[in-house]
Amino acid sequence: MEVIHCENVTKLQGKAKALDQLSFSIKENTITGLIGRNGAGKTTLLKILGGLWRETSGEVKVLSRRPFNSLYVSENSIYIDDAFHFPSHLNLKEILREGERFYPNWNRTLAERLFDYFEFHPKQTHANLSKGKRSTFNMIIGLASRCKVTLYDEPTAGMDRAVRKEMYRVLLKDYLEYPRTIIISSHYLEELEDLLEDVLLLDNGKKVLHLPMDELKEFAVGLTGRSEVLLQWLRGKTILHQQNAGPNELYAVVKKEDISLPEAQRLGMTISPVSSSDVCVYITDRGQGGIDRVFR
Amino acid sequence: MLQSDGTPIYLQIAEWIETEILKGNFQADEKVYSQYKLAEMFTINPATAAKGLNVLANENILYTKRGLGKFVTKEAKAIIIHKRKNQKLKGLINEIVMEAKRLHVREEELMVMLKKAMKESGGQSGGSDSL
Amino acid sequence: MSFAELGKAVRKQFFYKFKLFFGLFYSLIITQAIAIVFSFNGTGSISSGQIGQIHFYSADIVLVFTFGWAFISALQLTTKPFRDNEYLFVFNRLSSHLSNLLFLLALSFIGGLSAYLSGYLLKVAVYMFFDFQLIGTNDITSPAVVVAGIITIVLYIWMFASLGYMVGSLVQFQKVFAILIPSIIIGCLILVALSESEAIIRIGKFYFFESSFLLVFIKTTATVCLCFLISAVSTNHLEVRK
Repeated sequence: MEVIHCENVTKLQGKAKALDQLSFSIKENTITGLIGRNGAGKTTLLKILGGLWRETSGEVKVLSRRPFNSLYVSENSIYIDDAFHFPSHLNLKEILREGERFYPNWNRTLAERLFDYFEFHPKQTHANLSKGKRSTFNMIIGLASRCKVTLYDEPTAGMDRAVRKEMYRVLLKDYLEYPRTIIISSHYLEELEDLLEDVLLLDNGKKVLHLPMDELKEFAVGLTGRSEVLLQWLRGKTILHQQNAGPNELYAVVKKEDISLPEAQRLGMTISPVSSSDVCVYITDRGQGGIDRVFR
Repeated sequence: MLQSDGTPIYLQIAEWIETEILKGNFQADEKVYSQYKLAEMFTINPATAAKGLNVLANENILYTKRGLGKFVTKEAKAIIIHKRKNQKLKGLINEIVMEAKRLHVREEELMVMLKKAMKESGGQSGGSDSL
Repeated sequence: MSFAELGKAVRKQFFYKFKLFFGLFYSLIITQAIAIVFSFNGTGSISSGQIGQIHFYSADIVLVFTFGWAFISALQLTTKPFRDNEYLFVFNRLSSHLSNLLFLLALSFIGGLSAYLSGYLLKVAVYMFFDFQLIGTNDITSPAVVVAGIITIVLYIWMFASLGYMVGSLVQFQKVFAILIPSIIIGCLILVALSESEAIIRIGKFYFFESSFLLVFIKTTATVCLCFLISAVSTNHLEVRK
């Protein structure tokens, strides 16, 4: 069942298109990674799905309803980032209590246990938390709410690696116990790889690809070989990325479906896998030689 | 436990289960871990684990009992050995051959190295002792 | 969206806002305290040769100050920091307005009750600290009168609150209102001061010189509804957390 459905969604911010004719759907009870460079439109998309912002044109349906101004969507979805502000006279325990009052599926045990595990003090105020601690607390809210649609916008910002690992594990375990539809936008695709079922890659507000994780891992392949041989063989095919790999040697990344692997081997090229995060970076590369151009 | 060498996770899961079957940790007609248990054990998405299980089911290594889960088939071990011999072992041999070519190592020298390695690991070809 | 769901959401938001906006009560206390101090001067006095000076004391100044407080508090509710506090939990535009309306009513009730009682506080204070002879107090004929009086005050305060809410909403809708509305208000005040505008004085009389309780009730509630309608319509497309 499609829990999220977007068709030709465009969002204008001033004259700029934050989202450009975006179309995709997300099935129920899946964990999808929302990947893209800064400014690709990830936050915009999530805020529209969560009902905070309004789409300029196109159709957005979350749980079969338009999210903006919908009480139903607001009750069954939650948008989490590291930036909300609570007034300073509400302490953390009180915030959790409010969460419990608003969300019918709230899991108090989980909230309390996580609260203690990550060493929060009930009387602390939200504003006084460090960035990483705030992200952790906000994520606890997202997890405990057990909303049918949970949207995490770079939820691990500021967290140190150990906490991030633990958070992913908590996310997974609670997901196993109580499946729901989750979208996580993150810069740390490598860390999330194991958790994700699908990946949605955005660039400049457009959808670049929307694939299951293992297909993304198999999407491209890296070839290393003598420059002339390689370039000749790859003539006419899209080279996603290339760089020098030694004198006369070239490393090139191409789509796996564009070439024949046995033939590559026969030609003496070394074949190496390309990680999903690298694939995303190469596909959304601005081209023209990349950052090295600055140094030429 | 999982490698980040680019092999899809679901295949790694399938391989891991195969190895467990070979090691005897799962006997014929015994239930293997569910996708949720696997997800929890390896901290991966349950859908990925399910995919791995399905791969094995398609190869007749596991069979499904509706509502109960996936179980090891009687022919599982045989299938796995056959598969690995043909795929993995073959693949590894090909790699050795290519590397040998690159290093200009001749066939005789390669055979000597192979025999030495086998003697050092204590096993003889054809023997499947722990199986 | 059924009424039951809407009602539940409004109720939850109402209690949440009570906790969130607690600071407004502190500002109420301070506002009324200042107003009481100002009231020590008396709201009117007459001199008569034989009797001497007669001073009148009432809660009028406190009331006017409370009107202002209600207006400004309601206006604050429409600004970004207050609006953004809601989005984390369950809300939509309609339930947000309704819960704000109810919250302002509660605020008006407390402010009104407090203003009414401050009148007595004032009189007691004056009697204790100044060397006056007490001539008389305003007549309390029956509990019904007291209750009607309090409700009237509450309704007026609520009306000012809803005006503030409407102004704030309009400003959020189009920034130009931030200049337009104060200009209009100042313009009206100048006209009143110059006694040039019959219309404005008539508006004032329409609201405040009404003797029938029922009519007061209808007039104020109708104004409140109108203000909220305008607020709701103008903020319908407003986004959160830009």
